[in-house]
Amino acid sequence: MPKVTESALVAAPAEKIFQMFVEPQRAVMFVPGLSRINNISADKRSWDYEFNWLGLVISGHSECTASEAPKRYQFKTVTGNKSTWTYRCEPDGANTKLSLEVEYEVPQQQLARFASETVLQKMNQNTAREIVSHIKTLLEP
Amino acid sequence: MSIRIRIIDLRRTFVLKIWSRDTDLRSRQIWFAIHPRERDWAVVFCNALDLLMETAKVDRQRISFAEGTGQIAWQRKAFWTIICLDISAFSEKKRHLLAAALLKSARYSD
Repeated sequence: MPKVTESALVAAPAEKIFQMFVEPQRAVMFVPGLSRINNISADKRSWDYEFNWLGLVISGHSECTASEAPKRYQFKTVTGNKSTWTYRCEPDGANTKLSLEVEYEVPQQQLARFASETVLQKMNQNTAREIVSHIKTLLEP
Repeated sequence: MSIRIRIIDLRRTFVLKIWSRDTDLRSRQIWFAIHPRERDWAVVFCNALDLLMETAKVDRQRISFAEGTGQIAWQRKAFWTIICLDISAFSEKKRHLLAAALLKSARYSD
């Protein structure tokens, strides 16, 4: 599967950064276009999401696949084209290196694949960059 | 499983940013919200600020956060509300991000 990665040095402890991920609803605050997180399971390991994209509402389901505080948090979107999102927090002196890796499926139908491969790559790269930048902005003074 | 696509979001509240002003130290915005049913803005914004890891203090139709340097005040009528946001702390980038997150909450939270 293709993947994109982004990282940034954040002036905050890894434990504080990790708090951004373990509460699924918090993602609405820093993920561009994500409008709602609903139906969160009691153990916070699965939830429904809604994206608002140019007025269209796109909804689906996600499941957390790894939560190793405060180092690694991973979830998968299990509807439509599947994707795996992995956040990593590595202490770096008084700061933390935050990285986000997004692995995603490209549509199998050839025409859709041809049309969307480059666009998907660019969209996912931009989204990952914005997410990491937003988390850094929110957690730094 | 497949994704679902809808053209119209019936749960959304129509909220329009009608005025904004930024200086080096302060960001102010005014929003106009239309809502067919009454909305508890204190709950909407307190939940959003909690998700943003900001401590909120509610006083009637006003919420303060960021140790008083952030304020959200609103005037509610039956079907519409005027909301004023005023933040005089943080970097300009962070102020914009907080404002965008609060606006998103006003539009999409139930």
